[in-house]
Amino acid sequence: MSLIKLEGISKIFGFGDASSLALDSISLTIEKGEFVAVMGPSGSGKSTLMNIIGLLDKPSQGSYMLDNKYVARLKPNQAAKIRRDTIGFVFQSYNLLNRLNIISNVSLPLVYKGVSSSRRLKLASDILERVGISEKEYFYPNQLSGGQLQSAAIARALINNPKLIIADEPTGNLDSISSILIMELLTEIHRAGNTIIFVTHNPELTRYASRVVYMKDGSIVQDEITPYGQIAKTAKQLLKPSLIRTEEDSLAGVSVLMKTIDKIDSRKNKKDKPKKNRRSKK
Amino acid sequence: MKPSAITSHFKLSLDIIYNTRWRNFWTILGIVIGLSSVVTIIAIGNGIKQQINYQLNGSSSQNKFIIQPVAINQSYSGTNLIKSLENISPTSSLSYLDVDGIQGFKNVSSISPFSILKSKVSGSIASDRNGVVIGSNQFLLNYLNISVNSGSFIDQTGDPTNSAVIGQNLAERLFGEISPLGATIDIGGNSFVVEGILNPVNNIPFSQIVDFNNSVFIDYNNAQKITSNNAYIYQEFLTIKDNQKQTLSSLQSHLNAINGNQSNTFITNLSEISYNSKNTLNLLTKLISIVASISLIVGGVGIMNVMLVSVAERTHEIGIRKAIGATNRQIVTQFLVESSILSFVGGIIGITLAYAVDLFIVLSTAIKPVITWQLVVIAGFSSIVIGLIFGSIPAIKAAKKLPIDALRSS
Repeated sequence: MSLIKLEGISKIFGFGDASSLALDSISLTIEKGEFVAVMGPSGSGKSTLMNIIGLLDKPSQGSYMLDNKYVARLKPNQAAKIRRDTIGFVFQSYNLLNRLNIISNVSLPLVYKGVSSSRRLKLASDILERVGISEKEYFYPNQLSGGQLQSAAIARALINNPKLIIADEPTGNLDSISSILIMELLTEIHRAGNTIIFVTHNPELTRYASRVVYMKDGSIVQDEITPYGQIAKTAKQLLKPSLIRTEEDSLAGVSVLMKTIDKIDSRKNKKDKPKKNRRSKK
Repeated sequence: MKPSAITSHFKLSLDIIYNTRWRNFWTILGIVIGLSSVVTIIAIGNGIKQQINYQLNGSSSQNKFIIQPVAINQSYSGTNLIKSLENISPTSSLSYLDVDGIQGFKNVSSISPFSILKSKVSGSIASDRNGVVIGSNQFLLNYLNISVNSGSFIDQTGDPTNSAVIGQNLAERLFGEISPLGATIDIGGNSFVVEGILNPVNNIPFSQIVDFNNSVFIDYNNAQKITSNNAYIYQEFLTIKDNQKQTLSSLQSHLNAINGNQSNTFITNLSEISYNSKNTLNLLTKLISIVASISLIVGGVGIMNVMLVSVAERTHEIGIRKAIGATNRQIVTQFLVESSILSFVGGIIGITLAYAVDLFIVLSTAIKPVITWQLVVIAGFSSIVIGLIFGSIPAIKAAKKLPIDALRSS
């Protein structure tokens, strides 16, 4: 069951003669646990696509299924709730509120969820520690560097435990060192099991991703899995069978292991690929 | 909406309002002025009503009555007694005989005739060509709830001596710095001796009672003497002890009998008379309050104005909030909290200003405005409501934007 399923998504801006086709019937599927980079030149429609995936904008045509629910044409309030609980957005220009200190910024999604004040502060504090800027909790945005601000923005995106994190050019306003730090942070978050989509036009950054989607003029021109992604994919396939259990198996114990090995064997025979090395490691 | 969210909006709104305080000050000035005017006017009305109550009633007002030759409804209603008396032809059916006869009645505490003359009144340093002379008896003092500063009032019924009691203002005008006690006061060519000076009496607007501070009081018999028995009794002040209905009806039949079985004398309770002036007062207060409320509406429009500007300035911020999951209702709540705080602060300042203005009024006029706690609560409440009403349009406007459009504006 994929996390995101886009089918025939199109987006038109403007009217009549001034109209432009930002997205041209895009279809895209993203699974849970992927770390997807969306690459392309300016004007290719990547930001528009992110906005639609992040429910900030509505497509002109097409269907969008997020976590098995059709979300493309939701009412604004329902969309807001999904943005709050399921999606975390990280912007290029951080988009933190300058009037609030860092911890208030980070706990803002919790305010809208109705969490009590003390609990909010605790959760925000924990998240800030995880991203590494807990000593700057009570500072204001105008007192922090770009890298720290983006870390705070990422913390804010994480605070509601979203299923999906969307980052629109997260390193766009950062210097090279801060960029690396931020990408490392995102990688760490990905490794913890989150699904991340990020937009970039810096090809260097694609090495962090498990999959790269190339866009041009509103269409996806290429969609490939990176080497990093390939490892992840295979590991998943291996792990999947052992997760299936019946009640009997729980009681049986060893027989479960035996059954697993049998299943892998049969799968191996189907695919006709020698994986003896991996099996022996097990 | 969870309370914790409202408190966080509250704190944020306070911060924002403080940061734009100069702009907000000019904005809420409308509410301040509007609310303080309405509160002041209602307070003045309250004060006057209380003064009427006190002046006319004092204690045990339910036992005080006025006997008059015409029904109260048909005559003057809330205007100056003297002015209205000039319009009534002097065919009064009251006479001193009534007074005598009624005094002996069971359950009658006191009865005083009330006769008014206009005459030239002269003191040692000045004279008043249109002096007001009141002919009555010793019970008048108690009935009217006035008191003597120095000297004494008319002593007894049928006082043969020519003593006069004068009000404070008249004393100052006719006698200046010297104490007038024992001095001669000339009333229409007749010499009287000043035997008492009254304490200052609060004169109430819309009251029917004449200005006692500028009047001379003499015994009714003397009034008859100096006018060759033409001192008409316009009304009689009656105080009874108990057992109202019975006493009143027997008095009424007595009066009818005296006047040849015609029922053209009326006994009216004092509170009914003040009822008319209270009615007028209420009407006037309401009218002026409505006019003053218009400025409250203007104040509300001012708040709406500044909130619209605030919303436009913070479009980007609204976009961010929506992007991280704020629903329309939560955005609306945020701005409503802000606008109600703004108007509430205006309300508080307005009420404080009203207190200050009322203090000024007390110090410089005879009116004592009264601000009850109910008035304060209602005023405070209305200021919040104004903020909610006039802030709702900008708030709804703020919430309607699509997140992506809001984010696009810088």
